[in-house]
Amino acid sequence: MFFGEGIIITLKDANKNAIKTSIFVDPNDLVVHDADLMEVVNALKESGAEAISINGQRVVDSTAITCLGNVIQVGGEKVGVPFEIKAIGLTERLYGGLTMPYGYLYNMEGAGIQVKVEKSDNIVIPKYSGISQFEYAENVE
Amino acid sequence: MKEKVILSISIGCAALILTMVMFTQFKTIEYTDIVALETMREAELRSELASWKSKYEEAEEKMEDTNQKIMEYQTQISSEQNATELLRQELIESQKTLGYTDVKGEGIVVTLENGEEKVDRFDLISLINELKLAGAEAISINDERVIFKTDIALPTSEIFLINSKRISSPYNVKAIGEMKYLESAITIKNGYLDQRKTERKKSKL
Repeated sequence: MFFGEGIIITLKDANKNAIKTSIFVDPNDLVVHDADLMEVVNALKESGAEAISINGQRVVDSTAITCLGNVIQVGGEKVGVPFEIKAIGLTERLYGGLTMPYGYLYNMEGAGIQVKVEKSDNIVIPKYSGISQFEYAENVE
Repeated sequence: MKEKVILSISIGCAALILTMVMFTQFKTIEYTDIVALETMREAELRSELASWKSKYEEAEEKMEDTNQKIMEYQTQISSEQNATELLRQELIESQKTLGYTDVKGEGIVVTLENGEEKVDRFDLISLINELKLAGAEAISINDERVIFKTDIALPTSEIFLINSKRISSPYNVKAIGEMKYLESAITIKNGYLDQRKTERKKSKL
């Protein structure tokens, strides 16, 4: 369990109006994909996030993010929209890094996805619920 | 004349008595002296021996006490050593989990190289993700270990920053894990390598 200042990013698929207003839009741009989450997580790490969770799933060393049809699997758990990504770190830096013009979230928002970035002083990120064990890797003496 | 005889007799008597007394005195002195000395010596020695014995016993007791204390300390030290050994092992395990130790094992090496199109950041991010999904236990890019907080930044289109270290094409991505899974995850039809025309190498680490 981690506690500290940071930001909360909420990602939602584009609403129906966005689909109606534009005919030339690629439907793929209107939903949040696994790749989007990967990019956001990477951007958070770039901005110095010390702990990250997606919908309550702690993102650790071994966490893989995969598309599973209409849901996304984060570290073995299925999560769906809206995606709530919490990150603990220096609030200003995280906020600035994630909302910069032509940054990843900026482009996503431009494509119609509902993006909300909030600053918060008390973010709680749960511990990793899985186990980490090694079967193939050995320490080199 | 009569007076002279009496005087000499009395003197002789007195002398005799005196010598007798003297002899008895000598004899008693001789006798008593030796016995007293002997008895005194014996008693003294006995008492001295007794005192030495008691001292020896005391010393032995003390030595036993000290020995016991030493034993206690030794057992304590060995138990402490056990504890520190356990702690050390735990530390090594934790470091391994966090990726702060060098590791070896079976796995695959994927090489990505700029072809007609450049390898972009997402190629690396998704490759790492695919490898994690296939159960990779340790991943490195150009010998830069990928750990829980590793990011891939793009300051220019030629150079990536991994763990704040600059790397450029070709990218040597090593992953340790079940070889079959890792290989099939990457080479699956329409999978990672099909989507990217990249050069692939496979080897045992």
